Order: sequence, then structure tokens, then C-alpha cells
Amino acid sequence: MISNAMTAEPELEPRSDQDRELEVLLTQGFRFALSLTHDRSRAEDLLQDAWLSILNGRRPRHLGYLRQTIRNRFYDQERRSRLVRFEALNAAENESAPGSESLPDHVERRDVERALGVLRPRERETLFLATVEGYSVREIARETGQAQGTVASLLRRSKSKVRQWLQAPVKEARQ
Amino acid sequence: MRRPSLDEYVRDHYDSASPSPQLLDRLVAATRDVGAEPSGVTPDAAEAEAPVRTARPTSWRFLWAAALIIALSGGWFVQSRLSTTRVAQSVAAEIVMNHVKDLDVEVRSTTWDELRQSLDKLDFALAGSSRLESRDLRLQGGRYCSIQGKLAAQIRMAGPGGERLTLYQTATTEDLTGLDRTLTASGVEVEMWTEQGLFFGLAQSPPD
Repeated sequence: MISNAMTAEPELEPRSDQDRELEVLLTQGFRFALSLTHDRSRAEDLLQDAWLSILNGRRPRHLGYLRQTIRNRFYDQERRSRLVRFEALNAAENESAPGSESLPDHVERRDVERALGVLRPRERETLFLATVEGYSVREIARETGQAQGTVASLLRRSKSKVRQWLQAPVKEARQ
Repeated sequence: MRRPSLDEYVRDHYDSASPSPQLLDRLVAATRDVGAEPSGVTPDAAEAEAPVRTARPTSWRFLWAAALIIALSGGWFVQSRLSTTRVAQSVAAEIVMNHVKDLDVEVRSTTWDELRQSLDKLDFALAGSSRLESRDLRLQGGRYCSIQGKLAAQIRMAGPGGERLTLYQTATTEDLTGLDRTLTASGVEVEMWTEQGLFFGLAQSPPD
């Protein structure tokens, strides 16, 4: 019988500081994957896939490389399954500027989730990097390989879409 | 009271999301394995690599001679075998992780034709394998997944005694060629082979 040395089930060993740092890194990677997929299950698959690839390839284990691996794999899968519509880069320029109206008094967490669901992956990714990671337009452009103008437009448009969705009087109708 | 801004709502949304503890545990464990010992999965005895001895060098002359002999007599071959073994281990680990997750099928189907039509975004044609014909396995359905970043199908099957099996299929690539072997991890047996230009990986849990 073949021996068994690989561990696929959780190990109930005490967490070391190194493990905790790794969990933080993986959680950050998961949140980024979620910004692309907008689906928890797919985000977990993507994270697992990317992390195993990094381990197997003896690649650097830092957030920048993890995000890059997740991003490459996500868009590669999407291209293959033809689920992503790649819009013209200048299409964003025709979008209206974000509304200056304030948000409703009370916004539920699930409303935010639904509003983010109307965005395209590139819009969500840009919004995530700007708001969660605190990146500037220039930094996002450098990381994603896009022009700064495109990133600025994506960011403006994504905020506008989310804001408009949250302000819509009947949200269910916009599902 | 100040109302949160849009950025704060978005930040709060993502900050409250975390991967499942089970996934974190699996990935932390996989990282420990790689960090401690690259050879996480033990392959078939017939294919096992020769044990590496860490003998202390007695002299530079001996070291140079040994290095030269290794380089001339098959260093490339050993490296190639190590690489193949590592890929096989990685693929098997991925298959076991997916098998253990036991995600629901996206398409319920009992025939290959129906499944092929439903999973129409695959860049290869789903097919049964001659290796499975004599095993009396029942097809239950499938879903999209990925193996080593390549689009793949994850097909759920049941054995004659109700055993749960998961069959993975993807188009054969250079990386996935030559991985024919059976590995076992955490009690899950993973059988890998190629046939008709497709890579197959069959994961089977032990009987309860």
C-alpha cells in the first residue's frame, strides 16, 4: 500500500506566529479574490489554486505576488469560459461622473454586496484596491498594467454605479 | 452622527469577509508540508526517488569528483524525475483538497452526453475513460473547476457500494503528461492517467 505523507485535512497543531502571519496573508488574498469573483466559493477556489501554485513553484510568498497570481488565474479562467466582456478602454470616459448626492440614511451590508454585484470584475478590483488597500490611482495602474486615466475612470464609474444602486428606491427591481 | 461614506461601506464589506477556517487550515498545513519537506506525497514504491544522503564531504577533491559524476551520469534525468514527481504531488494535493471540499455539482446528470452539453464552456470534450468501464461507476453530475490553473471538470460519481468518487478531467498539457501514478493523501486515493488527449484524476475516499 502506498504510504501517506501529504496532509490535506486540517492539522490541529497550535498556531505559531508564522502561521498567523500566513493566515493574515491568505485572508487578504481571499478578499482580493472576492473582489474579482464576487462569489465566496469561487474566491476560495481561486485562493487555493493560486496558493498551491505559489508553493509548488517555490514562488515568493508575499501579498503582491499572491494578488498577481490570483489576478492572472482569474482572467485566464474568465477568458477561457468567455464570461468577461472586455470593454474598450475609453468606454469609461463616456460615463457620467459620480453623483454628488449623499447615501441613504441606512445602508444594509447586503445592499452593499448587491450593489458591488452590478460591477464588472475590473471595476470591483479597482474599487477594492483603492478603498480597502488604500492604493492611489498611480499605484493601481502600475499593479494592474493599465493607464492611469483608465484606472481613474474605472474608479469613478464603479463608485457611481454603487452609489446609484444604493440610492435606487426599489433595489429588488435592479437585481 | 456622521454617516459612513461609500468607501467605508465598501471597506467594511470586504473587511468582514474571510475564507473558511477549513480552507485556512488546509493551506496552512500545505505550507507547513512544503516548508518542512518538499516531498509531501510518497509515490508508488516503483517510482520512488532514491533517498538523498547528506554525507559530509571529506575533501574538495571528493566533492568535485562526485559533482562531476552526477552531472555526467544523469543529473538531468534525476532533476526531470524530481520535477515530475513534484508536479504529480501538487496535482494530487489539489485534487484531494477539492475532493474533500465536496462542493455541490452545478449540473446533475447521469449521462456523459448530457454533461458534455451542460458544461459547454470547457475547452475540451468531456469523455469517459476505458479505465473506468469495468468499475460500475454511476455518473451523478459535475461542475467547473481548475487544475493547476487550467479549466477542468469535476465530475461526481458513485461506486457500486455507494462510495463517493470525484473524477477530474482537463486537456492534457506538457505539465500534466507523464504523471500516471497513484498517490494517497489523508486516506484519499488519487489515481492519475492520460487518455485520448485528456488528463484524468480520480479521487476516492476510503469506505466509512
